[in-house]
Amino acid sequence: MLRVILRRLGWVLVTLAAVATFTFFLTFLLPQDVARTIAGDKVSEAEVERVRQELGLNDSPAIQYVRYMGRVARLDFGYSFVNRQPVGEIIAERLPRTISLAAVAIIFQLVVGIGLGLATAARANGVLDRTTLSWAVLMISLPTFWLGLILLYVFAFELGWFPLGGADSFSAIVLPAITLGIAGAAWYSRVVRQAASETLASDFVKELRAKGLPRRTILFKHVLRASLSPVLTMMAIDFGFFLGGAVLVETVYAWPGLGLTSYQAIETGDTPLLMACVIVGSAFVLILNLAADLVRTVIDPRVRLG
Amino acid sequence: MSTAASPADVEEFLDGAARARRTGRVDPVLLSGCVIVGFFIVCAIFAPWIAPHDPDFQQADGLNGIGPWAPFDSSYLLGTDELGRDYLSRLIYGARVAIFIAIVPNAIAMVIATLVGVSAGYFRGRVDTILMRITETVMVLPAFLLALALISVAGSGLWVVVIALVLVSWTYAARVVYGEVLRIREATFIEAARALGASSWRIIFRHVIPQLRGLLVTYFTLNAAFMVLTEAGLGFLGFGIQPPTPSWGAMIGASRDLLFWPWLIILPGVCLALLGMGFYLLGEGLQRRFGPRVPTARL
Repeated sequence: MLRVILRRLGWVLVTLAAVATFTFFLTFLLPQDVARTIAGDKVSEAEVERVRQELGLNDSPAIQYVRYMGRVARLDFGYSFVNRQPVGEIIAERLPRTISLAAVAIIFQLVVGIGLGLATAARANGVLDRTTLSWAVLMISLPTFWLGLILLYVFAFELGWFPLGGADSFSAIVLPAITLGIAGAAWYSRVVRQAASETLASDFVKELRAKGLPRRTILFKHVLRASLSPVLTMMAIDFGFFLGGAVLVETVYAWPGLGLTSYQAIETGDTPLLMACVIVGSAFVLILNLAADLVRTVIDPRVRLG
Repeated sequence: MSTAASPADVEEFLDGAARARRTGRVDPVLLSGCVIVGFFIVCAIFAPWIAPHDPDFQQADGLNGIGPWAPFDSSYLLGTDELGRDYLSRLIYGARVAIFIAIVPNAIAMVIATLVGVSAGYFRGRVDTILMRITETVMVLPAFLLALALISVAGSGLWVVVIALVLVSWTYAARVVYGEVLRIREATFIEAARALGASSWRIIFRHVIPQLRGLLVTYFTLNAAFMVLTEAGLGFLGFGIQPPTPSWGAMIGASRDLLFWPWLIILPGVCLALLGMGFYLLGEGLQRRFGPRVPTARL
């Protein structure tokens, strides 16, 4: 088991190296004079040449590549082109925002998804049950950024219940978290409903009922636990996904996390910052996917880690 | 990210489809999907004849004193945008971009997915290990972010956007095809073909790929929704098909700070959601009728 985990971790590192290589080539394609960007517009050509020497931009691409990979391996992402701050510092400052948003969105997703799933399983063929499929389809068809703007318009602009963006107050996290989690909630409810209705039909539930346990206890204690395993692995994957790529939602709500940071880095041509965002985001996704696979093997002994 | 639909849905669908066949009635899901998608395809093809105005022309009376016309307030049926252009016409022309995106990058992704999935699934062994490892790895990367990075570097030309969309979507399809090929290759008719001395290529092209047709059509439909919504996301951030070509995502992006005129945001979003839903319904309907369950990707 341990050897398998180590091998998978090794594969994560190889993948990250590939991502770093990809970002390195992207910067080579960039029609931007890095030394000129750093030195500023008002400086003489000689001065720019000095910066170029200093950064080693005159070396061959191969040497630059090796040096770059060495720095990435030491988690040294260099300095931002825009405000000269170390990129590592910027990431460290923005990362907690992204994590808190992803966490709240996941909790929303789980609570709503599991609640709806259990409710529909308990009353199969009720109105709620017959409409959730339509809801699920509607929710995954809505563009998230559009849904975000509409919520922003109604609840922040018209009703004024929430701030119009940013992360200055506690309530600011509500709308972005709902926007991020609503499609997942719709999916989870379908998955939980399926698992729960299978469990409800099983012999052990019949026995519990025969024993005279109240319906509620059966539902929340026994059925719930049996229905959780598919949702848990989906959750780990979704969490990685939110950490790695909530670009749209963070941009709509001006939520200062990794997603907004990478968008701003693209807008301002801040290559070191963008590269760091891509690498850190990929690392999250890869590690949480590995975690999802581990969870699966722990919950379901039939699954083998490959 | 892929989320498999539950077996209960399958039963439900099979039931519905069986009932539809028995009674000779049309499956409502399939029908509504066809109607919605068909509507937008007609809009896309006949845009110049349907649209009341030139979508890029800034009308002389396109703005009232304070801003654009609201829907139903003027001779412009759905109002005008912040530059005084007829919004209905822009929405109709926007269908062209959406349908193009639903078809072209989607088809390219399907071809790549078929090549990868069939090679890995049919030949197994080392080819399988390498190809599927790559596929699964690319699948979990933050695709949207990588697509943004690619477009920001290579410029947001039409074909760069197409390539970015192909990059973010081929992996899911490849894995679905792969799974199906693993099943097909064990079938008796493949064994029979091999016994008759058919070459691998002949078996692949004459026996395996034709078997994949239903799956590919269904997946193509579901993936079309994903493509349209992803392009809209890119367009919203200013990295999609470039203005002045009207694209729904970019139209929402251009109006995102104009909350005083909410219809500028609402209308293109309704078009996107409708088309996305149309593709999902069509895909579900096709599955009910013909075929295997396909896990879908979502944003």
